[in-house]
Amino acid sequence: MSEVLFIFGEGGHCAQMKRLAAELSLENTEIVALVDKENISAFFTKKEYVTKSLRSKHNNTPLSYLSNFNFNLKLISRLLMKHKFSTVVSTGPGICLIPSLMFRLFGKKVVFIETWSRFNTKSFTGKCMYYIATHFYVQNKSLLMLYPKAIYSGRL
Amino acid sequence: MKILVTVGTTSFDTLIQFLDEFKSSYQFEFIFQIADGEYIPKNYEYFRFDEELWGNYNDVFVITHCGAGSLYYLLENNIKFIGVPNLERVDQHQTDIAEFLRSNDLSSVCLTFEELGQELSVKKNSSATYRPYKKESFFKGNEISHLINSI
Repeated sequence: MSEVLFIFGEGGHCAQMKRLAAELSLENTEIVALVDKENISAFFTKKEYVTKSLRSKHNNTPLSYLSNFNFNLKLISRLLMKHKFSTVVSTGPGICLIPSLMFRLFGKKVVFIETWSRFNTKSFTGKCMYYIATHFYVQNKSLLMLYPKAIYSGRL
Repeated sequence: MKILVTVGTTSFDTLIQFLDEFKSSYQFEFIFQIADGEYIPKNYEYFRFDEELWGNYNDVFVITHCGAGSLYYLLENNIKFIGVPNLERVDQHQTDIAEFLRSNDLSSVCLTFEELGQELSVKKNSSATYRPYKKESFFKGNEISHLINSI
């Protein structure tokens, strides 16, 4: 049985993950979720870890960024020691960046699906994950102009 | 006319305040979903979150932020709405999907409150129709399942 880390945030990111989960065969998968709000992964797992968002939706300060970065680094290190993940799957937001980078350095598969709300611009997370992910999917064809090596997936 | 105003998970105080104080010759009855907003409506009902939002308000006209989760649900269920991108956010990504709605003639979109006021003023007599939403559904489920299950 493979152990997979699903990373996603509240709101639209969670809505996309719910739809994605319905498309996947997860019978032989041990699901662990890394999220930015408690209980949003209850629809498919009880193994949930809550990280802190690196970017506030309303304002950002360097201090809050560094403090949350440090908290997340420790949490992810604990996750890496406790579990033997084969794959990371994320629908964003930026909370996936550090763990994805770390897991990629450890030779794991990293699957990222760029948000369905982008048509003509890149998300900050997408810009970074394009280089980190082993498999980078876009839901809107127009994004293939911006991400030429991306895989078009259709829309969730 | 009963109108649900929803902002999703991120507050959009200026929209809520604008509509709470909106004066019109036509009688609107707003119901506000305000998330963690600081502005508390004075003239109409409000609540912060409702997990069963669409189940509880499936027969009303909607004014919504341009979060994709809300927009796609409304489009897929043929619920009429006006989209207003939340430009109070640090990231301005809602303008991207707002442009998609507008250029594909899928819904009314108001980029400013002035536009929203004008749209509401003609709402009573509006017979505007929009194109049905069609999408190419997600088809990479098997591929990603294979990735996940192959060690």
